[in-house]
Amino acid sequence: MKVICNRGALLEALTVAGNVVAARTPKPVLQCVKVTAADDRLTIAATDLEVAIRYSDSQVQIEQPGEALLPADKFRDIVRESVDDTLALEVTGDTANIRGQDSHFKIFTQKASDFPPVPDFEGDADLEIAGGLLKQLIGQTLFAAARESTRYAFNGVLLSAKGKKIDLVSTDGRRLAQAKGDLISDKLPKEGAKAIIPSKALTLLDKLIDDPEEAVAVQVRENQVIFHTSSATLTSNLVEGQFPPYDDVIPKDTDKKMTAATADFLSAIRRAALLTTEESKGVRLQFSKKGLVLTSRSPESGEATINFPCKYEGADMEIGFNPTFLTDALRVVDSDEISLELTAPNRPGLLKGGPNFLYVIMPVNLQ
Amino acid sequence: MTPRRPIQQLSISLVNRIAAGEVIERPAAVVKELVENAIDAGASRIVVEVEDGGRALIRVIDDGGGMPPSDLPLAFASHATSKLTCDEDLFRIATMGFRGEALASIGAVSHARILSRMPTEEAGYEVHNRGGAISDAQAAAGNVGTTVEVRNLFFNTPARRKFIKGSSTEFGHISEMLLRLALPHPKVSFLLSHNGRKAMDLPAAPEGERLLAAWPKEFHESVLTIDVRDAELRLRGIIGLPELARPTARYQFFYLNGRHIRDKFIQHALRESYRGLTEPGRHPAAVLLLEIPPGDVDVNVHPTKTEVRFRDSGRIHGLVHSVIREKLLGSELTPLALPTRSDAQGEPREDLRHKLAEFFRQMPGEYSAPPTAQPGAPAGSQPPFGGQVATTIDAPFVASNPPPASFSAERPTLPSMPMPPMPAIAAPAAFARSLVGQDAQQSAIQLHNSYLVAQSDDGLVIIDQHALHERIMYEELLARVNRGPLEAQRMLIPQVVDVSTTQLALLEQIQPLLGKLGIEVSAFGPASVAVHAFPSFLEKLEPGTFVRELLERGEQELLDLHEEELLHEVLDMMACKAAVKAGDPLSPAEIEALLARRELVERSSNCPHGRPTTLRLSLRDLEKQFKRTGF
Ligand SMILES: Nc1ncnc2c1ncn2[C@@H]1O[C@H](COP(=O)(O)OP(=O)(O)O)[C@@H](O)[C@H]1O
Ligand SMILES: [Mg+2]
Ligand SMILES: [Zn+2]
Repeated sequence: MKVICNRGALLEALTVAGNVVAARTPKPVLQCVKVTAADDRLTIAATDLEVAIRYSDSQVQIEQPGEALLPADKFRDIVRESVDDTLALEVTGDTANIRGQDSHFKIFTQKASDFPPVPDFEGDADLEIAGGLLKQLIGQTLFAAARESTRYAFNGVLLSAKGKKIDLVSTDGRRLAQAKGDLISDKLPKEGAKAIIPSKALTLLDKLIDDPEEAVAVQVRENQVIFHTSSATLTSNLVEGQFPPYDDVIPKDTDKKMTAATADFLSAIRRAALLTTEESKGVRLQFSKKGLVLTSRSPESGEATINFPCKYEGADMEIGFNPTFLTDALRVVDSDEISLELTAPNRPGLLKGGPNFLYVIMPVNLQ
Repeated sequence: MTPRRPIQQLSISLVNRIAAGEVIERPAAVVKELVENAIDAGASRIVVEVEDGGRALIRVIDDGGGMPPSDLPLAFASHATSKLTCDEDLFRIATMGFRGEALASIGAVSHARILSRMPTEEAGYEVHNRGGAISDAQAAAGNVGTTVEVRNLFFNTPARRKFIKGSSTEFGHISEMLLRLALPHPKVSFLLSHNGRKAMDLPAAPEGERLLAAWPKEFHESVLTIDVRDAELRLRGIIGLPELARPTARYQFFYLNGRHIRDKFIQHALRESYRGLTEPGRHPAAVLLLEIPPGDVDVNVHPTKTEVRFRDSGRIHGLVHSVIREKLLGSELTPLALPTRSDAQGEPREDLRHKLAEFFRQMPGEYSAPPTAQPGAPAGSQPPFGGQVATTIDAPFVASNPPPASFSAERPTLPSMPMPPMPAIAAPAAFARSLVGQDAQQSAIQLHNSYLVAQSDDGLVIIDQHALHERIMYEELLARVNRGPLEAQRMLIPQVVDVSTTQLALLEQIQPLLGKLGIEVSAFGPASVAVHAFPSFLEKLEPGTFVRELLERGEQELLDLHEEELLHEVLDMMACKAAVKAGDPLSPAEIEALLARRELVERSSNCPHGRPTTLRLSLRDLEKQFKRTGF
C-alpha cells in the first residue's frame, strides 16, 4: 500500500477515529485503526466493539491500494507533530513507513484480517434528517442522560421516529429532556422505530456533523443503529433494556405558570447559585403575583437574593431546585422565551422552550 | 427418594455416635426440620404458613408419601427415624434428616399436631403432642400428604422464649431459611405466607431458574453458569460477575449433596477465584452445589448440620477454585472488569517516578536553608502548614466535580501541576517568597494518586487522601444533620430495590433516621422498596445501590445499634462514598481545598473508626534515618 496524504485531512480523520479506539483493552487490535486505500480514498476504521466508525478521507493520492492495521495513538501523534503539508504512507510487510521531508517513521503493523468487521452503510436509509437539526436534538437531550446508572436504559438517549417526526428523550431519573423535530424523509413502517442510543455514540455523532445542511442517513436495526454522513459511517450497538414509560412523568395537571426571557432567567439562576454549597445545592424559588424571588443560603458562605420580575399565573408558591439542573436546560433552549409550569413543592416542574423542547425537573427538599 | 421404611428406635451405640440434641433455637429451626421432612417424604409442593414470626403458628403442608397411623406417635419419639437403621447407614446419608430427633424436640417445647394420609389410604390420622404428652393416633380428614402444625413454640421454656426477637425479625430468618432449603430442590414448589400474606412463591422450575431466586433481579443479567463433573465429583451452580461482589457474604449459598452447608474451605476457594477481579473484602455472589460420594464426608460435625468435614478438603478446594477461576477468565465478560485493576497497578509506577522527580526538583532550595536564615524573608514568615494553604483558596472542595477523567476511559495520566517558575536550584529567597505569595499553589504533592505529601513546621506529613476527605465530610455532615435534615433531591423516576423481609423490617426501624439524612424510601410491592428522595450532595451515587448496600450491611451489623450509633454508621458510609478515592487524581486546587479543611478534623476528637489520616515525619526523624545527627 502506498498513499500520499494531506496531513490536515488525515489528522482530522485520525482524531475522529481516535475517539472510538478503546483506551484499555485486552485485545491489542482494538487499539489500532484500520487503514484502507482504495477507490481514490483512504478509509480509517476504528471500533471498541460498542461503537464503530469509518471515516473516509478523499484528500489523498493512491499510488498502490492496500490495507493495514496501525496503532492508533502512535499514528495520530506522528501525523499531529509532523510539519509537512503532505505525508507519504507506505506499508510493506508488517512495517508502515511514514515519510515527511525530513522525517521517516517506521511503525509495526498488525494483521489487518484480525480486525473486527466495521460495517459500511449499505442499502436505503430508514430515515434522513438535517445535520443541523440532529445536532440540536442531541445537544438538547444528551446532557440529561445518566452516566453510569445500573438502570442501563438511562445511560442512553431514546430515539423515536414515526410519520416524518423524530424525538429524542433522555433521563437520569431526576430530570427528563425531550426534543422534537421533522425528518427530511422516512421509509419506516407505520409503527415507526425506537432505539436507545448510547451517549458515547451521540457525542461522537455530534462531532462528525459539521455541515448543518447535509442530510444524515439513519438505519435502525434490531440491536444497532447506523448513521451516515458524507464523510463517515458510525455504527453503534443499542443500549439494552426498557426505557421507562416517560410519558407518565410529564406533568399534565399544572396550575401555575411562569413565563420569562430565557437569558434573563438563566442569569438569575446562575447568580442565585453562587452561594450554594456541596451539601446545600438548592436554590429557593418564591413565586407570587409580583414575580419571582430567588434565594440561596448556606451556613458557610452566606445568602443571596435575586429579584426577578416575570409573568406568573397561579397561587403563590415556593419550590427548591438544583440550579445546575435548570441551567443545563436553559443553556440548550433555542427559543428566547421559556415557561415553567408547576403544581406543588414536591412535584415536578415542567419547563418548555418553544414547541419542540420540554424538560421535566424534580425539586429538592429544602431545609 | 429412598423407599420408605417403618420408623425404628435407633440402637444405643448409634445414638451415642450422634451428636447431642437437635437444637431448636428459634422458629426458623422448626421450619427447617419440618420442610426437610417434607422434602424427604417426596413432596412436590410444600406450603409453609407462619403467624407472628412463628411464635403463634408454623404449619407445613406437604403432598408427600405420608405416614401410616402406626408410625404417627413414633414420629414424636426421641431418636425415632425411618431414614437410618444400622451403623453403616450413617455414612451414606442421602436424605436430609437422619437423627430421628427433630419432631421429638419440637413436640417437647410446643403444642404440635401431625396429620398424615398415605396415598393408599382412604383417610388420614392425626396425633397431638402437648409439650411432650403424646396422644394416640386418631382418624381425621385430610389430603394425601402430611401437615405438621407447631403452635405456641417455647410455651414451656420461658428462657428460650425471651431470646426470640420481634415478629418481623424471626420471619426474616424463616424466609431466608426456606429460600436456602428451596434452592437445591427446583422440582418442588414452595409457598410461604406470614399472617395470611404471601411472602414467597417459588413454582417448580428448571434448576438454573430456581437458583436465581437466591439473588435480586438486577443480578440476573450478570450471571455465569457452572456445571463440571468427573467420575466422583460434580460442581454446578451459578456465579455472579465480579461487579456483583458485596461487602457481606449474603449472596453465597453452598450445598453439599443437596444440604446447605457453611464451609470455610469452599468460601476461601471462591474468594481466591475472584482474586484481582473484585476489591478486597468483597464477597462474590455464588450458589454452588457440590456432589461428592457420601462416604467422603462427615456431615455430622455440628448438631445443626451446616458444618461438614471433608476427607480430602484440598481436593474440594482445588476443584472449586480451578473451575470458577477458569470460568471467570474464560468468560467474554471478565476483561471488562480487569482494566480497573491494571489501572490501579500499572499506572501509578510511572506516576510515582514523575512525581518524585518533580518533588525533588523543588526540595533542595527548601531544605538547604532553615527558615530563620532566609535572606529577603522576615524571620518566621513561613506560615504553618494549615495557615499557608488557607490563604490561597477559599472555595469549597469540589467533590461533585472530580476530574472528568474518572468517567472516561482515557484518563489523562496526571493532573497538571504548575512547575515552580524558577530553575531547579532556586535562590532560597525566591522560593520562600513563592511559599507565602499568591503563586504558592503547591503545598503538597500527590503520590500514586492516593497520598498527599506536604511540608509541615517541623518535617513532613503524609496524608491518606481518602481517609482525610472522608473524615472531613463526616464532620461536616454530622454538624449539618444536627442543624436539620439534609437537603434531598426528589426522584422523577424512583429507583426500585428488591429487599428481603429482614431488610424491610430494618427499613421500617430506621425510617426516621433516613428521613433526617434526606433518604425517602417507601414500600413498593411485598419484596421491594422505591427510593423517592436522596441527599443532593451524594448525587454521584446511585440511590438504589446505596440503599441496598446500607440494608445489606444493616442486616448484619446495624440491627442492634442505638439511634445515635446508627446515625454515625450511616454518615460514615455516606462520607466514605462521597469522598475522593485512592487512585483519584486531584487537581492542585482540589488538593489545596482539601488541606484547607484539614483543621476541622484535627480539632475534633470524634473519630469514626480511629483510622489515622496523617503520618508525620519530623526533621529529627529524618535526620536520624539519614544518620545526620551531630552534623
Ligand atoms: N412430612 C413427613 N412426611 C412423611 N413422614 C414424615 C414427615 N415428617 C416426619 N416423618 C417421619 O417421622 C420421622 C421422624 O422425623 P424427624 O424427627 O424429623 O427425624 P428424621 O427426619 O431425622 O428421621 C421421619 O423419619 C419420618 O419417617
Ligand atoms: Mg427430620
Ligand atoms: Zn472510606
